[in-house]
This record gives sequence, C-alpha cells and structure tokens, in this order.
Amino acid sequence: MSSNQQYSGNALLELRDVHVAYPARRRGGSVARAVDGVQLTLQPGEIVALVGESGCGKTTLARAILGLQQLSKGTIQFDGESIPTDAAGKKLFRRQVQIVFQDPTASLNPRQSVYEIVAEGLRIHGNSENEHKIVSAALERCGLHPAERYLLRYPHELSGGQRQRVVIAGAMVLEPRLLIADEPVSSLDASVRGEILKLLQDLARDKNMAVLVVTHDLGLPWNIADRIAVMYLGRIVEIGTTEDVLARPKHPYTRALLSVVHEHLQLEQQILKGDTPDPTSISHGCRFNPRCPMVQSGEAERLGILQKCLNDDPVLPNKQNNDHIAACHALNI
Amino acid sequence: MTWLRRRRALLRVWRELRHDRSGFTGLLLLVFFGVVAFAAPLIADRSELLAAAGRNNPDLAGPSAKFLLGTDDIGRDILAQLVWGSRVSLFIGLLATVVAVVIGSLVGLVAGYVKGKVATVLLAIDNFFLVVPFLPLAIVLAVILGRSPVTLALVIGFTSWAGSARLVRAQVLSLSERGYVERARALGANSRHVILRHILPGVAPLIIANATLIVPGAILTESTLSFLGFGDRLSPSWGKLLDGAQSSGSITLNAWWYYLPPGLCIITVVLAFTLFGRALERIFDPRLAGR
Amino acid sequence: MIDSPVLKVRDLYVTYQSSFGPVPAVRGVDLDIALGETLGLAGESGCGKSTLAMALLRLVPPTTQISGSILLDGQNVLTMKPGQLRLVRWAQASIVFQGAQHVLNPVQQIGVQIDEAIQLHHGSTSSTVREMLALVGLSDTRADDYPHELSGGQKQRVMIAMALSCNPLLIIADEPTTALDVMVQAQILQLLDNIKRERGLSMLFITHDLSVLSHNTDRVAVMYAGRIVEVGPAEELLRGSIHPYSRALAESFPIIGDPMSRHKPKGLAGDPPDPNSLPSGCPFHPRCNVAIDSCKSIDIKLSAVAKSVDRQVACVHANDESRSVK
Repeated sequence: MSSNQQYSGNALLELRDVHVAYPARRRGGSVARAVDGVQLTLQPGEIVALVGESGCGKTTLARAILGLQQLSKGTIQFDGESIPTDAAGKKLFRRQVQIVFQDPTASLNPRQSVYEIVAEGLRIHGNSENEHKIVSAALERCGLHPAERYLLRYPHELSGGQRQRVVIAGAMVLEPRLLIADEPVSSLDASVRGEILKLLQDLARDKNMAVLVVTHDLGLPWNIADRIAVMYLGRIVEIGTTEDVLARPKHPYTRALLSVVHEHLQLEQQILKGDTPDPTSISHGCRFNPRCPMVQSGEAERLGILQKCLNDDPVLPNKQNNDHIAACHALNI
Repeated sequence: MTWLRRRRALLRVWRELRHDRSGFTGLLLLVFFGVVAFAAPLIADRSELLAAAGRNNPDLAGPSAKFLLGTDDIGRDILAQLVWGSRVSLFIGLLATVVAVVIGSLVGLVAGYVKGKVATVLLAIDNFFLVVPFLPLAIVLAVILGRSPVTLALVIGFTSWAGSARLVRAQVLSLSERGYVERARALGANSRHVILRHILPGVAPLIIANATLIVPGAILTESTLSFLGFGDRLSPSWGKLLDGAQSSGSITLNAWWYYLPPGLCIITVVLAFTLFGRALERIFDPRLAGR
Repeated sequence: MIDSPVLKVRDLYVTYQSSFGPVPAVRGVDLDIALGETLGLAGESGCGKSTLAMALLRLVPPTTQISGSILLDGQNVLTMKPGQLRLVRWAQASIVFQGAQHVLNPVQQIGVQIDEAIQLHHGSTSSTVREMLALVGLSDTRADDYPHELSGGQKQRVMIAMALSCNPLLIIADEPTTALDVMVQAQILQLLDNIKRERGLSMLFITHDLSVLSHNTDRVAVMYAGRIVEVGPAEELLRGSIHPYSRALAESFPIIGDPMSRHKPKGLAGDPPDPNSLPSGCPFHPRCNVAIDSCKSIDIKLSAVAKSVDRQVACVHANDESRSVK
C-alpha cells in the first residue's frame, strides 16, 4: 500500500501559506477569507483527500492550484517551481495538472461528440498525430469499451457514470501528473460510485499520478485515499494518513464529523449546533470556537485552554511526511 | 468526423422542418419568391420597366392577356415591375440583414465575452440605437449617403442591429459560464479556442433564427423608404409600386391591380420569413441540445 | 400483519406519458406503513421512488395512468373526488420535497409560504406560522425573510415546517437531506426524529443514501426498476442484505474502519436501467454477479424469506442457505 512508501525527492506539489480572499460584495461588507493559510504537500502517485463542508474553501483551494483562481498571499510550487504566470507557461502547466469537476453533464458540451470532447485537450496543445489512437485508448482505459461504440455518441446519450468517464478520459489524454477531482461521484448514482473511484485509484497507481480528491464524503477517503486533510473555514485543521485521521481523530471538528457519519467508531454522536459557518465572519481566536464541543461542554476550561481557544489562532505544527497532526490547543498541553 | 456530425445535424433540422407545417410553408413561399427573383429575366422583359416602354400602352389598364397585372399610370407593365422589384426588395432585405446581424453579433459577442468597461461602452451605444427611432435615422442617412440599393441596404442594416446585439450578448453571457467552458480553460484553451469551439457554435443557431426574423423588418423598411420617396430612384421595388399606386390615385380609381399585388407580395414575404424564422427558433431551442 | 395501517398501498402501477411513449415508472408496488412507523425507501435514479411519492397524493400529470389502491387512513386516494382529495392533501399526508431552493417561491417571504397551507385548510387547523417555526428550530424573525436569505439547512427546516403545518398523519420525505452538508444533515435528521416522536407521525423516507436509513427508520424497502426488491426491518436489512442489488448498494458506502473496504471501492458495473427499456426477466440480471439462466426470462416477485419475520426478497436465491440472514 502506498501509504507505507517512504517518499524521497521533491514534492510534486507544495502549498505554502496560501490565502485566497474574495473582496466584499457590497460596500461595508466583509472580505470572504475562503482560504486562510494552507500548507500542503503532495507526492507523486499519492491520493490525498481534502475533506470538509461547504464554505470550508476546499473547492477554492482546488481552483487556486489549477491557476483558475488568484492567490492573495502565499505560494504554490509544482515540481519545485512556481506556477508560471505567462500564457505559454500556463498552457504547459495545464498539461500537467488536470481537473474533473463535480457535474459531468455541465462539463460536457452537448454539441460535441465524445470523440471531440476527449480530443479537445490534444488539439489545444497541438498533438494531432495519432489522435484517434490516443482518444480510443483513453476511452478504453476509462472503462468505455469498445471505444468505437462511444466515439460518435453525444453526452445526452450517455448515463451519468459514462459521462464522468468521458471527462476523466479527456483529462487523461494529456497525461497529467496531478489530477484534481472535485466531488467526482456526488452527482452520480450510488451504485456507480464504486466503479468511478476504482478507476481513479487504478489510474493513480498505473500512471504514478497524484490525485487530490475534494469531497464532503468521509467514506470516500477510506475507499481510495492515502492521506486525508480536513478543512474548516479556510484552514486545514487536521491531516495525516487516512487510517490515523479516521480511526483516531485528534481535532474536535473531525471527531464531530465522524460521530455523525459512522457509529462504528464508537464515537458518541455530537451534532454541532448552528449552520456551516461563513468565511466572511471568522471568529477571533480559534475559528472553531463558536461550535467547538470542548468549549461548550466546559472541557476547554477544565483543561485550562479556554483563554487560548478564544484568543489564539492555533496552527498546524510542522510535519514530516505522514505525521498525523491537528491544529488544536488541546493537543499542546 | 466533424462533417459526419454536421450532416447529421442538418438532416435533423430538415426532418424537423418538414414536420413543422407553418415553418415548412414559410420555406416553400421563400423558395417560390427566390425562384421568381432569380428567374426575373425569364419572366418579364426588362425593357418594360423604362418609362418609354409605356408610351404605347394604355395607362392604368386592368389585367389583360398582354399585361397579366395591368399597367400603371404611365402604361408600364405592372407584372414586370413586380417581378423585377422582387429582386430589389429581396436583395436589399437580405443584404441589410447580413449587415445588421454581423454588426449585432460582433457587438453582442464582445460585450458578452469580454465584459468590463468595453462592454459598458458597447451597451451604451447599443442602447442609443435601440432608442433612436430608426426610420427618421434611416431617412437622414439615405439622403446623406445616397440611394443606391447597396447604400440603402447598409443604411437599413445599420439601424437594425441593436436588438440582435442584446440577444447575442445575453446568450454569450450565459454560455461563458457553462461548465464545459471552464473545462476547456482547465485544459489550457485560450480565448480564441473557447470562442470558436464553444461560444460561437452555441450562439450560431440563435443568430440564424434571429436573422430570419430581421429580414422581414428590413424589407418593410425598404418598402417604407421607397413609399416615402426616399428609396432608389432608378430601380423598381415593391415600395415604389405602392408609392406610385398611392400618388396616382389608384385607390380611388379602384385600380386594384396596381396597389394590391405589391402589398400582397410584401405581406407574404414578411409572413414567410416570420414563419420560417419562428420554426427555426423552435428547432434550435436549447432544450433540444439535451435531446 | 399491521392493523389499520396509516398507509396501505396495493398493486400500484404508475405509467406516465412522455414523448417517447408510455414509461412504466412503478410496476406493482405493495407498501404498508403503521401509525408512528418510519419506512425507508431506498433506490437510485429511475427506480420510480419519486413517482411513487407523488402518486401517493395523486400529484402526477393528468395523462398518467395509475392503477391499484392507495389507502390513506382507510380511504382510497385514487378514487377520491377532487374536493375530498384537496382536503386530504396536506392535512392527512404532506410531502417534504427534494431540493428546497427550487420549491420555495423566491419572491415570497417564507412566513407567507408557510401560512399558505394553513389558510388553504382554513378552519381545520389551529397551527400558526410562529408555532411552526418554533417547531423546526427557527426564530420568529425568520418569517419575514426571503428564501435566498436562508442557508440550505434553514430552507429545509422551512420545508419541514410547511409539511407539518396542517398536522398530517404521514409525511412523505423525498430526499430531505441530499445536497446538505454532513453536519446539517445530522441536524435535520435529529429534528425529524424529535418531531416524529412528539407527534406520533408516520414517515416515508425516500433516499438513495442507504447509510442515512440505518438510524432513522424502522423498516426499509429497496426499489429497483419500479419494483420493491427487498423489504424488512431496517437494522437487519442493512447489516445483512439478501438481494444482490441491496447488497451492492450497501457496499457502495464503505464502513469507515473496516479493512475489507480499505482501498477497495465496490460498485456495480453498468447503469441503473432506463424505465423505457427494461431488460427481460429480472431487470437486475445484466448487472448481477449471481444471476443464473432463469433470471433472464423470469421476473421474480417479492416472497417471504424463511427464517425471518417480516422479510421479503424478490430474488431466486432468496432462500439459499449460503445467503441466509445474518
């Protein structure tokens, strides 16, 4: 299993103190700090899940990695170099980092045939020789065989699962080194979920391609991810191997999430009160303190960290490789 | 591969059109007029149009074996004028539409895709042309620029593009937000690729349908200009015939062969384009993109 | 057997008309829901569950053919006159629709929308908007808000308040928590649970996410291609499904911590069938890994499973020793 691999060499992707802030919508309104200081590294071939609820910034972060979103602060390095800002450099970068969006139907132009959709990437980058062969091979690799049966079809003639396979094939023809999958199975039927996840896992292994899966579903990382990063209000609050984080969660938010999703971990159900928080009003101190069960039950006070929770913003300690760390004052006692 | 698909799409449109009774009727009528206009030299002798030709003919005579639609107030063959007039009316109508659609689509495309300050300026210009009454403007321009068929077409086109621009812009705005456009960008596409491969094909059906609905307006405008006396002095046109009919008092004299035929022709062509255009709109409706 | 059930559906067939011809969305469904009981209905797109939900209150297009019987508190919904039907709708059974943002009127304040139902059943209910909001955990001040000023979870609470406004016996919840965040989902499920217990409500809980059903339902029915393929007590069915489809559906959502699913995503090949073109015999056979020859031609009906009380499965292997109830 790849989680036991010892990684050597440069990280494929390295995020340092990344911030993405959206300006206020109205005059006098507040800035939305969608991503508020994220550190993350990805090694070639590993599958990392970025987990969180809506408003946590995971989709914004994914788009920032792709260069579809401007950073307000921080750096993103791919293969040891900053992401290019010139048009030509950006184009080359796009070959190496690809994305699969949540809704396969919206991602496909209803007027293009499957062939044209998959070939689009090749045509953009000017690789037209062997186009037919590459397209067919990609389709078959993604489970649509025989490819001939699908080449002339249109998106509306395909099922949800098949459409997602076409999208994935379209990304794979460029042979990316990193694939970002934003909720790849949420809009698909439950019975189709497993096959698509298996496909992503196989592709990651066969092509030594890193995969960053953005999802709100905690079961998904258990199925395919090596590591998992839990996000809350723009920050990674816990990160480690999937086994560590899901079996021995350290951050109260992770614990609460797991407690409502699966009772097999023998966690007492902790339903947090209030709505999923809003990046325009991040509270002072630890951003989780308005809803933190430890603060509300008084345990934080008993542990003597209440003042810290209310005033100091906890940060993730420095990590090595697969360390399991969380940003919580309760861990530093 | 692309041609196969294009052919398939065209066949589908054809099939749908066949089923759409009003649209198909419109198309047949248009074909009829097109043929008449094209075959004008075969149907009516051009020399009949000259004032001189009418010298020996009875004035304002009713339909007879020699003159199927009678003669006008100076003895010219009305059928000949009608047939040759169809050329002018259709030509100006179509050319004006092309001008209007080209300007309107370009403006709409830029305003919808580029957005920002450029769009604001373009929209302000568009607003101006929407609000200004087009007929006075057309008359003024016709007087200034001259009244040849081509100039008239340009003038009419120039005063009719504003509505198309709005339509195209709205559609382009909507298309630029689509998931597949974002995907194309993620694949590394530049604006040229996005516009050529995704935006234009998406907006083309709308432009075509819209164009067929502009033609009748252009023909009517030409007829109006001619009727008001601002049309081309030299060539016959349906509007000119109407003008002649009115000024010669043919209505009171009950010379129906003078005013009825051109009026009916205008109405029929306008109706034909409208029916056809509406049918195309129905066929190209976005809901079908999901079929 | 259940005495005087709140809902008793027998032999329900719903075929609606589309541009492709008749579409048999529901093909022979029997259902029972007792007073105070929650029945979970699990299935994916195209299985007919939403059509079934709408048919229960005859909220289907007029060209739809429905046959069978739907007894709501003893009265057949399908044979009611329109006047009576209107009384029954909302006051006997109401629906919490899927996708609150599309169901709420964006230009009306939510207080007005909740009130609408109350007014329509004027005289027969004493609830007020205020009570309803309190019931679902929203403050009074929310009554003047417009839907876009509320979060997803809050909108769903409004939907629930609307459904409860006329004090029905049965609530039909069609995917009430899909598209909501995990924590908000838990809150809504807890809310529904409390309300059910307080008011002795019966509920039909429709979802494609089996994991949601384990703690919120008494019995579960799994639907595929317009038919129920397995039904039984919730925990028993979810822990040990018998029908190959139910099993596959359950396996699609891994149990976190279970080494059997670590790095082993499990899914079904193929796609849920199109009601327009169902396979011959048992509609599941093209995707079934234990299908035998007879499955291609014989469509199996629900039958009781030996060794288990109140458990029915529509599969040729239902009573095999090797697949017995755990």
